[in-house]
Amino acid sequence: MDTGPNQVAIVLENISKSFGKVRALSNVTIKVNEGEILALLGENGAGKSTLMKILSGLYQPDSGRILISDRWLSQLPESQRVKNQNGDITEGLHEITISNPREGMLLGIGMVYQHFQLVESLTVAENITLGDEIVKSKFVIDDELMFETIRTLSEKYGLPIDPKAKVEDLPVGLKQRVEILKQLYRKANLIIFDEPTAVLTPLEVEELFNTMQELKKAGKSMIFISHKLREPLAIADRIVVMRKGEVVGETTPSTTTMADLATMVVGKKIVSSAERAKTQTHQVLFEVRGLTLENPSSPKPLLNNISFKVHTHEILGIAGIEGNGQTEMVDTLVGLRKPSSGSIVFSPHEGQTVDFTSLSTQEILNSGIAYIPEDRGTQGLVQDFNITENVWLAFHGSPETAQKYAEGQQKTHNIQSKIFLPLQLMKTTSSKIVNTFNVKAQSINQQIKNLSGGNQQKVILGREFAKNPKLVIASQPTRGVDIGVMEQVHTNLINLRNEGAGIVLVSADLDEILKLADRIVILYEGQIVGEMNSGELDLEELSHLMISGTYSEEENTK
Amino acid sequence: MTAEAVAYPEQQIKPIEVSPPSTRKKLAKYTLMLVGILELYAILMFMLTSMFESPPNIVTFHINLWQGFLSTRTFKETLIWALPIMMTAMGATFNERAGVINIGLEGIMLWGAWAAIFFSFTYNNFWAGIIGAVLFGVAISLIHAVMSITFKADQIVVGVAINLFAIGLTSVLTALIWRPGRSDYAPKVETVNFYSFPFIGPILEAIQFSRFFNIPVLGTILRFVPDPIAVLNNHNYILYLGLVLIPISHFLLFGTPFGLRIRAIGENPQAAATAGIAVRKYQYIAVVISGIYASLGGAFVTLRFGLFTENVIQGEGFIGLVAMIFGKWTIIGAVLSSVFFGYFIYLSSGLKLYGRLSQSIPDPLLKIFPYVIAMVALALIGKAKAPKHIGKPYDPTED
Amino acid sequence: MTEHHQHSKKQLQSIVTHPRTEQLFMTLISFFLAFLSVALIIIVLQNAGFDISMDQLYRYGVRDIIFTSSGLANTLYWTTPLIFTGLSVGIAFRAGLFNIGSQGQMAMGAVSAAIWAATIVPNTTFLTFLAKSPLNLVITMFIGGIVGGLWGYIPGKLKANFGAHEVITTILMNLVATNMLQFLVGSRTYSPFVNRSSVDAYGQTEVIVKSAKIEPINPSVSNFLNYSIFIALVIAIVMHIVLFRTRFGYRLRATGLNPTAAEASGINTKKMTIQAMVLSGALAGIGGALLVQGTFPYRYNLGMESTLGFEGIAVALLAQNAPLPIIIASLFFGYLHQSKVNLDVNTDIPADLIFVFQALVILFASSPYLARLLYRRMILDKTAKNKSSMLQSNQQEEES
Repeated sequence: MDTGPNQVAIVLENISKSFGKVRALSNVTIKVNEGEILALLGENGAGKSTLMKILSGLYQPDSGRILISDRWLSQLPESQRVKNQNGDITEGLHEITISNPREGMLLGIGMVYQHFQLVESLTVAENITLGDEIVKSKFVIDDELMFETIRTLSEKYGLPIDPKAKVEDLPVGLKQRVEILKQLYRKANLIIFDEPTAVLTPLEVEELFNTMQELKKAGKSMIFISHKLREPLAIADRIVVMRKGEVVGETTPSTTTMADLATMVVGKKIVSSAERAKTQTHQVLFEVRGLTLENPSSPKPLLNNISFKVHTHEILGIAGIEGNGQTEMVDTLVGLRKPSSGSIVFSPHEGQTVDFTSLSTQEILNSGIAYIPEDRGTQGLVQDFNITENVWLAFHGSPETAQKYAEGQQKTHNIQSKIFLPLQLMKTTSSKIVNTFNVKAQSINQQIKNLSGGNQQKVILGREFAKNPKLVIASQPTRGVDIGVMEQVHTNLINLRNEGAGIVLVSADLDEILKLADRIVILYEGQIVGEMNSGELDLEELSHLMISGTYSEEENTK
Repeated sequence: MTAEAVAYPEQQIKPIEVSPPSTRKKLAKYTLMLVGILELYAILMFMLTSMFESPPNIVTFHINLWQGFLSTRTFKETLIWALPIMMTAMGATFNERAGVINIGLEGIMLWGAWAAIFFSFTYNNFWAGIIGAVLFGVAISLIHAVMSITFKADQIVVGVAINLFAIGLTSVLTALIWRPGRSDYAPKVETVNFYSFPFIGPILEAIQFSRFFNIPVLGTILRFVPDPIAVLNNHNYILYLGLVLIPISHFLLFGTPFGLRIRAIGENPQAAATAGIAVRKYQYIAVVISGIYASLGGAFVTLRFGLFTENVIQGEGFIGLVAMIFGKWTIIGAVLSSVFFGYFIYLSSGLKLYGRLSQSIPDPLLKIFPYVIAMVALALIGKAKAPKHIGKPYDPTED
Repeated sequence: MTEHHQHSKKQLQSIVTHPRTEQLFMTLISFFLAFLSVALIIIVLQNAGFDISMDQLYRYGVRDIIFTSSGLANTLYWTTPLIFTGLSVGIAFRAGLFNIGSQGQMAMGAVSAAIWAATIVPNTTFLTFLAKSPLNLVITMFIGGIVGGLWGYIPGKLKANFGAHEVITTILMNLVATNMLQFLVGSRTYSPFVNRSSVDAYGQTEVIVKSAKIEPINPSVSNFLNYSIFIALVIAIVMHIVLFRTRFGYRLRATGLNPTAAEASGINTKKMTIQAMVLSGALAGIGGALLVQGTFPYRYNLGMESTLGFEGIAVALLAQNAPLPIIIASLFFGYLHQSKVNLDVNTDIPADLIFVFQALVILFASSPYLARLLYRRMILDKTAKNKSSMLQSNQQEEES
C-alpha cells in the first residue's frame, strides 16, 4: 500500500448536536487515519453514540462538517463522487454531507451496532444483502447467486458462516459476524464498532480483535466504541476520550495506564467503598433442584435440570452469554413461568420452607424476596406512572411491608381496606425511598419516564431493598447506568450480603460477577455446566465454559 | 484463522434441517380436519333443525346436507363469497408485513363498493367503476398512511375512524346523489363464459360433469364431486383479476427485493433503516397496496349487481383480517383461509336457499356460525406468528 | 411595565406549558380539525351542486338545540347512554384494551333488560311480585349489565387465554349481536320475544312492567330526559374512584400501561384483562338497559341503540379515558346526536354528516403527535414570541 497508516481518511470537525434543550455534542473534532483502529472511550451519555449516528447518517449535525480524503472519494461510486465533489476542499479533504443511512453506506461508512440490526426471521444472506439485493432480470431475487456471493465474501475475509442459516438460530458471536459481513458486502472503508464486546465472552473478544487486525491489514479504518478501559488498551492505535458531549483527551495505549484512562473518563477518581466481609454462619437459604422448563416449540428444553444453592451471606453469580437461559431461569424463579419439573425451595428461617413452584408470582414476591428485573424499562417500571405509583408496584400485594418500612412500629395509617389504596402510606414510603437512595427528581409525583436511567434504577433498587429482603434475585442490575450509580448498586448489594441476605446475581457483565460473587455457576444452553469459587478462578476455563459448555481438553486429561 | 475452530466448533453451526413433513401426510391431516369440521357442522344443523321442527331422518338429512357441502354450486358460490375476503386478506398481508395494522380495510372496502357504483353510474361503464374504486382505495389508504406513519397515530384508532368515516360519508353521498339508503342501477361488471371460447369452449362444455349424471355408478359419484370447470366458469372480470393476483402477490412478497424489504421492515424497521431502506416509503406503499386490494374487493361486492346499498359491507373486511391472521401472514395462507371462511358464509345462507335445510330455521341463527368459526380460528392461532414490530409507528430517533 | 404584569405573564406561561393545558388544547385541536374537514366537505358538496342549506343546518343543528329548553333536555337525554359507552370504552382503554364492542354490548344489554322486564317478570309466577317492586328497577339494570358483561367476557377470555386480538373479536361479537337481536325480536314468524299484538310489531319487544320504568324528569319540557342521567353521573364518579383510588384500579392501570411490568410485580394480567372487559361490557350493557327503561314507549325496538356505542369511542378518546371528562365529552356528543336526530326529522340534509364529523374527531384524536405538533406551533411559539417581545420592551424601558 502506497499510503502510510498516518494518511487521514476522515475528519469530523466541530460537530454539535442538541435534542430539544439537551446538548448532546458540542464542538467535537476527531480524525481517523487509513488502516487505523481508533478507540472512542466514554461513559453512557458521553455522546459517543450520537456522534456515530451522525457519522452513519442517522442524525444530522446542528453545525460542523465531515470531510473525507481524495483517495476515498475517488473510490466512491459515480453518483456519490459527483454529488460530493463540489463541497469545500481543504488539504486534500472534501466536505461531504450524509443525509441518511443509505448515503452513509454509499460513502463507505458502516456501523456494527451493539444491538444487532438484524432481521431474525431472515437468512444470513438475506440480512447481508438487504437493501442492496442480488437480482436477476431486475425484479427477482437470485437466491443461488446470493448464497454464492456471501460464501465467497466470507471466505475472502476469513469469517466463515452458513449463508442459508436463519439468523435467529445463530449464537451471538456469529450474529456479530453477520453484521461485520454486512458492512464488508457494502464495501465499507470505515467500520464503526459500537460497544462490540458488551455481549461477548473473553474468548470471543479475542477472536473479534483478531478479525479487526485482519481488517486493518486490508486497509479498513475502524472506530471502536467502548466504555470499558481494558479493551481499547489492547486493540486501539489511538484512544479518544469523551465526556458530556465533548472530547476531553487523546492518548495512545503505549503512553497511558488504566488508572489515567479511568480518571479521564469519569472526570474524578473512583473509589470502591464496600468490601465483602468475611462471614461464618452459612446456612442454605434458597435451593433449586432439577429445575426444567420445556420449550413448547422444540424438543430441547429451555432449562435443563438446573440445581444450585444459595446460602446466607452469599452472592451467587450466574455467568453465561446472554440468551443461554438466564431470562427463563429468573422468570421461573419468580413464578412468571411455571417449571415443567423441579423444585425451588426458599427457607427464610430455619425449619421454615416455602416451595415457590406451587405459588403465584404475587405470593412469591410477598414471601420476603426482592426482585430486580432484567429490563427496567419494560419489566421494572410503568413509564407513565409517577414515582410513587412505581414504588407501589413492589408493595401492592402486601402493604404491611411498606408500613413496616415507612413507619416502623407506629402504624399510623389504616391499610386494612381490601378495596382502597392507602394513598398516604404510598406517599410516605415513596418519599423515604427517594431520600434514602438519593433519587434525583423534582417530586415524588414526577413521571418516572422523565428520570434518567440511573435514577430509575435507584427507584427499583430502593423499593426492592425496602422490603428488607432475605433473598435478592437481581438480573442485570447495573445495565445502562453510569459508573457512579453502578458503585451505589454494588455497595448496596454487598452490604445486604454482609447483613446476611443471599443474592442471586445474573449478569452479562463478567467484570461485575467477578467483583461481587462469592461463588459462580455457569449457564450454557439452559444447563449449569460448571461452578467455581471466587477464590480459585480460572478465567480461561470460565470463558471456555461460557462459550462451549465444556472444560477445555487439558482439563479433561488432567 | 485458527481462532474460529476454537470458538465455533463445526457442530455448533447447525445446518437448517430441511425435512418438511411429507406433503401427502399434511394434506391427509387437513382433509381429515375439514371433514371433521363439516361433520360437526352437520350435527349442529341437525340439532338446530330439531329445535324448530320434529327431528328429520338423520341418514337422509346427512346425505342431503353432504351433497350440499360438496355440490358444484356450493364451490362456485364459495368463490364469490371468498373473493372480497381474499382481496382484503391479501392486501392486509402486505401492510401487516410492513408493520402497519390496518383495521380500516373494512371502510376502504365500503369506499371501493361505493366508488365502483358511482363511477360506473356516472360514465355508464363498469371499467370506470373498477378504476374509480382503485382511486378511492388509494386515496383513503393514504389518509391511513399519513396519520399512522407520518403522524405516528395509534394505528387501530385510525382504522376505526376510517371505518366510521366510510359508513358516514358513503351514506351521505348516496343520499345526496340518489336517495337515502341505496343507489340507482349502474352497469354491472361483465362475466366470462368459458364455453363461448373458440376451440376449447366446446371441449370444456362437452366434459361438464352434469353430462355424465345418467351413467350408472360414475354418475352417482360425480353428483358428489364439484365440477372444477363449472366452479371456475361464468364469473366476472374482478374475480378472475383476483385469482391472477394470488400468484403475483405471493411472488411480489416472497421473491423480490421489494417483498424482502417489506418483510424486513415489519420485523425490525431499525435494521432495515440501517441497511439504507427508506422505511416509511415502503410502509406507505404497502398500505396503499392493501387499500387497492380492499377497494377491489368492495367493488366486486357491488359491481356484481350494479347496485350500492347502505352499509353493504357487513364484516367482510374484518373477516379478511382474521383470514390473514389465520393464514399466518402469508399470501397462500390468506387465500386458503379466505376460501374457508367464504365457504362457511355461503353455507349459512345457501344451504337453506337451495332446500338442503328446513325453512323453519331462523336465518340469523345460521348467520352467526361464520363469525363464531372466525373467533375460534383466531383463538387457535393466537398471535404466534405476527411480525415483531407490528402496530408500533417507526420512529428513527428512538434507540 | 409593572412587576405585576410581568408576574401574570409568567403565570400565563406556566399555565400554557402545563401538561394538563396541553392535553386540553390537543383535544380542542382534534375537534377543530374535524370541524374544518367537515366544513370543507360541505363546501365541496355545495360546489358540486348539492343542496345543503347552511340556514337549515344552523336552525336545526344549532339554534333549536342550544337555545330551546327541550333541545337542551334532549341533549342531556343522549348524554346518559354516551356516558356509559364512553366509560365502557375508556375503562377498557385504561386496561390496554380497545373495546369496539360497546355497540353490541349495549344492544345486548338493552334487549335483555327488555326481555326480562317485559316477558320474564310478568310471565314467571315466582317473579310476578317484581312487577310492582321498586327493586325491579335496579334488577333490570343489572340484567342489562350482566348480559353486556358476558358479551365483554368472551373477547376478554379469548384475549387473555389465546391472545386473540380484542379489536377483531369485539367486532365479530358486534356482528353476532346484530344477528342475535334479529333472531330475538326481528321477525314475527320465529322471534321468541317479539311483540305480536300490535300492528307495528316489526322488531320490538312488549312494553316493560311499570316497576322497571324510569320516569321523565319534566314531561312538559321533554318526554325524553329522565332520571337515569343521575345514575350515569353517579357511576361516572364511582368509576373515577375505582380507577384512581382503589387497588383494583391501580392494577388495571398498571396492566394497561405496561403489562410486562405489571406481571413482574405480581399482578395477574390475564385476570385483569378479563375483569376489565367484563366491567367494560357491563357498563355498556347498563347503558343499554337504561335506554330501554327510560325511553317512551318503554320497550326495545331494533336499532334503538343507534350508533351510541361507536360514539362512545370518540367520547373516550376526547376525554382521554378519564371518567370525569367523559361526562363533559358525552354532553358534547349528546348535543351532536340530538342535532343528527333534528336534521333527520326536519331537513333533507343527510344527518350522517354529523356521524362523519364524529369519525373525524376520532381520526384526529388518534395522533397525539399531530396535535402536539400543532399545539407547539400555534400556542407555544406564540407565547414564546410574546415572552421575547416582552423582554425586548423591558430592555427598552431600562434604556430609556
